[in-house]
Amino acid sequence: MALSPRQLSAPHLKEAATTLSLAGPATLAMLVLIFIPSLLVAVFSFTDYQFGARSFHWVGLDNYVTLFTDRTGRRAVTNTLLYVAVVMPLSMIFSLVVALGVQSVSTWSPRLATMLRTAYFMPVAATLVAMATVFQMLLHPSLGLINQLIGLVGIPGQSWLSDRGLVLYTLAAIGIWETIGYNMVLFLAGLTAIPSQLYDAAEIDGANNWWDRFWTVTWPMLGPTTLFVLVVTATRSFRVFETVATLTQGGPAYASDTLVYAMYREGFVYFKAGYSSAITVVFFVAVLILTLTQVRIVEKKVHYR
Amino acid sequence: MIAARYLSRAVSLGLLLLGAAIILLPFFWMISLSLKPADEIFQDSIQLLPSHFEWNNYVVAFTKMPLWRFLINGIIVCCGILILQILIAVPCAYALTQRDFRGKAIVMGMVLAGLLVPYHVTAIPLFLGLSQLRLLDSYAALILPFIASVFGIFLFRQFFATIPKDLIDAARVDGLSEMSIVWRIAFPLAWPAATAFAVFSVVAHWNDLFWPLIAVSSPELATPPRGILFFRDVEAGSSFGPLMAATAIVTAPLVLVFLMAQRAFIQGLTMTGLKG
Amino acid sequence: MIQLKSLTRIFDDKPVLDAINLEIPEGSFTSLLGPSGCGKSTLLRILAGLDQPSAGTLLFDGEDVREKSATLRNIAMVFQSYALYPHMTVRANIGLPLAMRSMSRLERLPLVTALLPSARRKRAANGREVERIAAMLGLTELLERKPSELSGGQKQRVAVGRALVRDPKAFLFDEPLSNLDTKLRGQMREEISLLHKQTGKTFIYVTHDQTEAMSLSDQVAVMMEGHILQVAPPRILYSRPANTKVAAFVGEHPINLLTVKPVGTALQSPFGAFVLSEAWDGDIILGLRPENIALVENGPLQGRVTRVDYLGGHTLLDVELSEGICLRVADEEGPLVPAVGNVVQLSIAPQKIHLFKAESGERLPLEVRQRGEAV
Ligand SMILES: Nc1ncnc2c1ncn2[C@@H]1O[C@H](COP(=O)(O)OP(=O)(O)OP(=O)(O)O)[C@@H](O)[C@H]1O
Ligand SMILES: [Mg+2]
Repeated sequence: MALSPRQLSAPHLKEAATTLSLAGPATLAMLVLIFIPSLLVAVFSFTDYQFGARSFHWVGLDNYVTLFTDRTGRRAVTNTLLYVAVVMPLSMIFSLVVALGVQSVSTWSPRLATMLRTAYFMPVAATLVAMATVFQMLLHPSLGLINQLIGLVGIPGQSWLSDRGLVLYTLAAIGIWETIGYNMVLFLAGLTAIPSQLYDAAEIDGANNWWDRFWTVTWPMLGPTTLFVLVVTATRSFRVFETVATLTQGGPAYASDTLVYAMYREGFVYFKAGYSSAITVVFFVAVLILTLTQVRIVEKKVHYR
Repeated sequence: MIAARYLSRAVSLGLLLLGAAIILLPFFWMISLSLKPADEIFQDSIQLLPSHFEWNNYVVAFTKMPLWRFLINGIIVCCGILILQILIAVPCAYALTQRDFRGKAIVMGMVLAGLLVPYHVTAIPLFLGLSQLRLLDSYAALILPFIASVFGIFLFRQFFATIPKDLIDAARVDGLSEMSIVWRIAFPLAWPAATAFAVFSVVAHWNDLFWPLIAVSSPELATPPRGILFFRDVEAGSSFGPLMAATAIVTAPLVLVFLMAQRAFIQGLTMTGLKG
Repeated sequence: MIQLKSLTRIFDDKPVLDAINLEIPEGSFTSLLGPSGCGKSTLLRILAGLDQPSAGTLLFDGEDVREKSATLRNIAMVFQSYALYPHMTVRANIGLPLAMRSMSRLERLPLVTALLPSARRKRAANGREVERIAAMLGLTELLERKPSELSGGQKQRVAVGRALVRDPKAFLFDEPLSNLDTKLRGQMREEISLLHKQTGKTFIYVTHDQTEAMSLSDQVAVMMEGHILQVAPPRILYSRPANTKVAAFVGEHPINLLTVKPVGTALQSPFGAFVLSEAWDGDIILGLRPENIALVENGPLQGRVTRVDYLGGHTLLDVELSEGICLRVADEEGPLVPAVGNVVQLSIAPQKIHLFKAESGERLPLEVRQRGEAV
């Protein structure tokens, strides 16, 4: 675009300088810290670059092929998907039930409802790594409290974190524990936004028990919130890292390996930057699809209101 | 009829309390273990409470490992990140709402696109860049990658958009420069956004393990989560009481802030649904 | 003296200000009067330096100030919404412009202010000045309050105080009273007038309320659709409107307008037969203010009352003349109390008739005299 003489005049230059001093640092920082690195990751993913190496080769799609064909690579992908598939629905159902419960308690005892909300939200405020070490104690195969408790009802103790078939579900359970509070708060906000006249109308129309009212009013009105919660939970679960790094380091035998942990291990333990970049790209694309869905939902939610 | 209502209340409350108990169990167990003498920590039988409070675990936590150091590192890193994020994001958000300039749409597009990028994605190039600059294993390595907070820009932009244009114009007529308007007028008015953002940022970076694991290797620079792992791995199997004391101390600051300022805290974390 | 020369502002290809020419003498009280959306605020913002003209020049005492930012022009502005800083006390609100101007960037830093003697001295002086202004405006009791704890009138006063405190070259007011109730508006109007006399500064006052403009101003600029239609002292504006638009806009009740065709100097109209001081070739619009028509026992005109609006001090009547032409009449409470359907007699003072050219609407500088009786 050509600059007219007016745009080059002193006050215009001064205005431009002011704008630059305001928006320039942020723009530069975004470029250097977000956009250029994102591009570089994509570029690295087509190389066999190793941290510290002097040179690298272009290897085309090899890294991606490895990720999806190699046993350990596939484990990371399938484990992550399984983890998301377990955490997402269960966390959602539990948090919805809790939100409905807290909401109904709040009609006769707001104080109690607030206390319940506080209790369920606690894990969100807690440091996950610290809590994971506590879980390690709780889940100790021989002397942990969990095995002692289930022993009381006659269930044999389990090796929660070292049983290959169980470990991922254990991590998923911790994931659910961690996300319920957050989702409950989102659901509570959705519930409060439902106009009470709708319930009156439904009652007049013959929906006279709780169950009918839930299906005729609550559930449809919560639709946008539910979708939102689903995607938020999925995105968060996709990033599972802290519990894996603290409790299992992907083991035993890659049974609890996940994308972000594999990315970390391959890149920063084995220094395979190229391969790690490919994992990053796959992770990014997955999160991107989820987040874009979420953005669409948020837009719809705005229209809905 | 009324009896049925009370019964259903009792049942649902009972279930909710049970759920809450399960949710709070790790917290309870953490406190309980951190106060148990060593020989009571692993026992064949269930013992919920310590026979006596072993406060010494807390003393050991501070003496056997540089727990102070971890906490101070956490504070330095969180404050450093938050201050730089605000210094960079707030003027940009102001320019995006209260000024007209060429390229505004591009900057706005960058902000929205940036919201889509999880910070894990940039780890490899940033690690490489920091190592080129010989900045790895330093506070700078822990802080710099996070100073461009697109979410901060987004949040403040939404808030600044509600400031009446007259108010900004009045400030201009009163002789304030644009920078003074940003910090003297716009930012103080965006206090709720700033609180929410601070909660979001501090919670994210106090609890983060991924980046500290990559960026620093010396224990003197470890943030609290990283420090706990150092301690656990070094003292494996021997001093669980002090380890639990350390986890309790590391968890305490945010949990206490949460308990004291629940509304702001929850808002700070849920407003951020777009980027979690 | 502030001069605007063919000042133009274009928004989205649409001229919001179209070649405005205006001179504002030093120390005068000038009102910009016009309906909503005519570009008054735009003009004021350009004067203040908050907006740039698309074309034309703006001179302050002969100096072109288009390149000067709002800060450098030293102009104070009172906004319609008051625009008080919500997070600051009244004291800080009034004191801010003073601090920004009198103290350097360094001296304004919180800690430095406490340490540096020069900064301390200036701060003390500023504080005294704020208190003097506050006392002048009756705000002393309110200095520690936040704007949210003030009434509309008090906010207004703080906004004025903030403008007053830094001794500006000129004061700009953008509809400062429109958010106040009628009684307070009258009171504030007097205060502003007094302020003008006390300070002797140039006041530029934007309003769409002609009462305000007429009662306060030395000169009024009537604006419509981006043009200035007439600049004149209030009396002239009322007695010699430059065109039909001004005639219609200024005045308590809408003026009666009627197009007639003169023959030489003779003017036959439903209002009566008149003689022009000079012959005029072409259609003429007659303008007759309702308040210049009197109800009389025995007048040259006669008509039937079709509507009566009692307005307190006077009555507004629609009188249908025999030709089916309606005349608006404002009647001072007199001996006659008309009712709908009554037949009334009217009289018109010919020297109060305004004449305009029909094709342009501009004032026709001719005199009118009565001739004989009504048709
Ligand atoms: N920034 C802008 N962009 C586009 N058009 C604008 C802008 N500012 C003002 N306008 C237009 O210019 C015209 C005049 O606006 P202005 O605010 O000057 O009117 P006003 O006379 O002050 O009216 P009011 O009495 O309602 O305050 C309006 O039609 C408005 O829509
Ligand atoms: Mg206006």
